[in-house]
Amino acid sequence: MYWRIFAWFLAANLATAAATVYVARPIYAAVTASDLGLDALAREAVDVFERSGRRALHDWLRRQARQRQLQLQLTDADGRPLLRLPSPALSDAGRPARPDAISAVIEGRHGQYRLQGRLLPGHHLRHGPWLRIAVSVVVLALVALLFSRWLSTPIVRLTQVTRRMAAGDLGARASPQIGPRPDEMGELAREFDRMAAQLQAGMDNQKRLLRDISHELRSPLARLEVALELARERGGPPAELDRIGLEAGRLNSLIDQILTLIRLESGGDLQRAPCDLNALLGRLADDARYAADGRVDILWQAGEALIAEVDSRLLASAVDNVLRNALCHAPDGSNIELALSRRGGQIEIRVRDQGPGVGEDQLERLFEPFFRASSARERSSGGHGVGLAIVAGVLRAHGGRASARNHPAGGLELRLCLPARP
Amino acid sequence: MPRILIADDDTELTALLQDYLGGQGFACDAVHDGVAAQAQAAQYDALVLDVMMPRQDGFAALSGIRRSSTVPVIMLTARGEDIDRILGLEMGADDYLPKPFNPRELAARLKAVLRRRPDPGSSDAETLRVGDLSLLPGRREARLDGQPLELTGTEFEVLAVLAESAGMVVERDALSRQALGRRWLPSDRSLDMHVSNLRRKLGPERLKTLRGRGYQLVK
Repeated sequence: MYWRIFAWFLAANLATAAATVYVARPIYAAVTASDLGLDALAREAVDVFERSGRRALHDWLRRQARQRQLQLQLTDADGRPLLRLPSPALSDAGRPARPDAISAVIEGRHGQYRLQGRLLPGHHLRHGPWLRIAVSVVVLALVALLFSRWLSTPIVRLTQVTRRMAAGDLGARASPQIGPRPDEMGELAREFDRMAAQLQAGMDNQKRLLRDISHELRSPLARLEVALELARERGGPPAELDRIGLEAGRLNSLIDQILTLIRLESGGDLQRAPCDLNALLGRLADDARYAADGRVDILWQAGEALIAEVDSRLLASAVDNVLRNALCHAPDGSNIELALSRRGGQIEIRVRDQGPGVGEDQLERLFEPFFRASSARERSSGGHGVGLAIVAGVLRAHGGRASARNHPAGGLELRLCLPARP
Repeated sequence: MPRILIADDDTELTALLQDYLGGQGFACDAVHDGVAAQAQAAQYDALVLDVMMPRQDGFAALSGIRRSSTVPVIMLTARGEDIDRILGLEMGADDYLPKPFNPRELAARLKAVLRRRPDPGSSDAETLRVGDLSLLPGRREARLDGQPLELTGTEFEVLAVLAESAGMVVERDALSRQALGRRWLPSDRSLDMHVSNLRRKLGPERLKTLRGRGYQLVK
């Protein structure tokens, strides 16, 4: 890479130099007498001088300078100027002639003359090398473009991979994007991947640990339940035993939820099948009504069949969790609205309660595991703060998302959006 | 006294269960792997089979047992395990309980599956007929158009309850109480599974689901 950048810079500079030469060559190329038609001019100058004298020659020379961007000087055979005009050649001062000065020698009636000429700067611009400049710019731009692409493409790709990783895709790897480069960029990609693999392994280990702990906790819980029942049979203190039973039940459902969450986060296998969401929600509304036991009513308007490819069991558990959450917060005698709609390719399930809602700053955090908007109340209803995290996980697994807002007319509204087609 | 075989590799749990179920009027033995469970299944009135076992898991043991026996089997599963598969045609368990469970629940379900066993001594007399479907409650046999249907004890029970009220809607809770011997809970999918097994065996048009209410056997 170091040498490549070095080489690229060198190449770019050489190209610039080449372009300069390419553009400047006609300017500095030796202009020959015949290029300028100096012989013909000399004949004309001698003619003007011999026929009309110094004054006419002066005017003629000035005209030439203006019209042809040529500075001319007529001298006699010995190089003495016939007019006092700035001399394009310094030969009269004994120094070598300027390299861009050229001359033609001609025989006049009164002896030999020499016409010296020099191109004025304006001459070059009039016959401008614009095409050559344009070609050079295009070539240089191309070189610069290739170079910057070569330099920036892998960085852009690496940035994309980093972004994916930050978004939670721990399986994102840089090497396949950047390709097998033997240079520093390839090395960076490989190191990035090594880091990503380490991170992923660390996260996986953590998840595995959590899962194993949860699984292992079940065995003693199962034994505890049986021992508890035996203690009841043998006349243990009923109030205390009930309490032990209740707490064991809480532990158990917490373990269930953690395991569900882990399964969802590990990108578990969705079992998608066509499912009528309208029928599914109807069933869930019935279930929730049953659980509410007359305390709260569930408002649900059954509509037409809406078939979507979903994992119906997971989606049902998500909606069930949302309904249960709403039941926890709904005041007695209030209603919970459940609605299903489809807009374009998006399916939306809305659940709104008439409870107190939550603080605006807590809306996003509702879906974090173990976050409680109001701790005192939720525990009394048996929540663990994992239910809505499961909801978010289920929706993510379906390529959708769950969001919450305080309804303008009061109460919390949870929205589950998922694409109609996977 | 009904003889129960408990197969679970958690020896402490099986000891506690033997103790508890012994007090509930069951004679319990315990084995700790699937191979032993399959070998001894024939000597018992009902089996309690854990899914996670060494040597041979509960699924493999159950399909081995089902090749030669219709002994009632209750599966112990981890929560979230594939209930459809356990109760479905593939496995043919009579019921399942997610671990950890309340042992009272296990005792109740054992009583329920034992009640559903066929009684070889009964006659064909009390036949229940719904169109070309005939049920022999005593022998726990069902025939469709004269052809015997392969039903598990629980499926037969569900069908019998529906047949008694053929043409009428049987609510889920009532069906669960009569056929499974327990209250229906929204989270319990087993009734749905048994009904969908029956629908596959009978043909979908005979068994209607009335959303949110219950099921109906079409006359």
